[in-house]
Amino acid sequence: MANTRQILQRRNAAANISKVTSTMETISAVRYRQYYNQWAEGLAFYDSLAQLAYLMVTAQARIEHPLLGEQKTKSKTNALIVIGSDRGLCGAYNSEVFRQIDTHVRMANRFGRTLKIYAKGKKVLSYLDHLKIRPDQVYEDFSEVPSVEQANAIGDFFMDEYLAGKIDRLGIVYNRFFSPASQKAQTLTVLPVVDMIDDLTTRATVIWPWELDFEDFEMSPSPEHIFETLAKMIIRTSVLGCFLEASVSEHLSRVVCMRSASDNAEEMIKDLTKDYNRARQGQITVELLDIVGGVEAAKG
Amino acid sequence: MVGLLRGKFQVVLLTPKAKLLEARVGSVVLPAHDGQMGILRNHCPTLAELGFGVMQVREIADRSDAFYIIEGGFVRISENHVTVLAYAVTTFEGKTAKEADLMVSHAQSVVAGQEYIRSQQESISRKKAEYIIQMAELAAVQSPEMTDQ
Repeated sequence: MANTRQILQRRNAAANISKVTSTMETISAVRYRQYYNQWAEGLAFYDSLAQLAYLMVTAQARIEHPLLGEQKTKSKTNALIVIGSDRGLCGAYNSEVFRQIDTHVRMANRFGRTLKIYAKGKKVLSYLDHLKIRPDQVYEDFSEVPSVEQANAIGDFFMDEYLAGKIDRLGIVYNRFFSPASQKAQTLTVLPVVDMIDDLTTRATVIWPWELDFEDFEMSPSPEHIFETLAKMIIRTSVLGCFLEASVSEHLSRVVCMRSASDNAEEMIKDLTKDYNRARQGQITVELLDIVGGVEAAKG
Repeated sequence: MVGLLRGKFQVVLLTPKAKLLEARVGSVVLPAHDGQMGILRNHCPTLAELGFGVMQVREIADRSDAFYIIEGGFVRISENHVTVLAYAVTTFEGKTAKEADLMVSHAQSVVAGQEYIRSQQESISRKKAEYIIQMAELAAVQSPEMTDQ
């Protein structure tokens, strides 16, 4: 049996770990609540955006716009924004993202396409390093969620690349937050924008009751121009939305993991305390027996 | 006709991060891409692009008028529902009088050309500063307690 000092050492170690994990849990819980509120309030925005987009794509009059039509030159290049976390200790959060990257790399190889990766998060970088892929760009100028201007800049960059024919597709790999009980890594196709609108309209949570068609609306300025701005808004805000959802998921999965880690540590401390008491009792008994034995021997 | 004009309609102001306003109001003035756009009840269905400017919401039930600086976006008007989608919104709503004062004085210093004193992070564009001052004036006309103290 381990001696008492060893058991004490192990118990202290467990106590320290539980302190760390419960602190991380508290921090992530606070962040999670902040991001979750933002996410929940933003839902209405994305729903309305989806309705507008739906109106646009169901228009009877054909809207001619480079973002809507087929690209003239095929560059055979896919761009991928990968959003992971900077820190570990959040369960399967990052490994699910890695699995998505694997799929994309394999698909790109299979169909002979070039893959450009734009990464966020240290964990993603180290994984890409492991795969020997050099990311085209690393987002380091914001910690978790970009500001509106930063997200707009990212969106505009990819839109320009698309219009210039440098990329065919843009996907965002991130942990989508369905509900507090379910998050899952997925790839959201942002460009071509029609795919994006498809996704937006299927994920919108409200069904719009109005019977109005696109043609019923007065437009200012022209429909083509409105479509361009709308597409821009969809792309820009989806970038922002993805980063936000990824952060909500990250903090939630960290809260869950850290809570179970703290629980386990508590249990371990309890067990070790029991072991320690037992060992201590054993030691005392042995010492008592020694004394009694000694006394008996002295008597005899 | 008077009955028509007096009617109220639903306004929702949304950004990707927050729902800033949801109320029945009497009139709205929006900064459209090509100038200001006034909306009353029974406006025809409209889709319009918004520019940079002050959005004025008047005759809100049980409270004073509200003002927002909108930095680009969209408005959809249909069936007496006005939905404003904006990238970013600056407002005095939900701020204390002191915070609002701070914003205004900051804006005034920018307009006066003293923005170099501020750090880069705090800096706002001159145009936005002008709009903040305009918004403060509008709000002050509306509610006397918002004036400089």
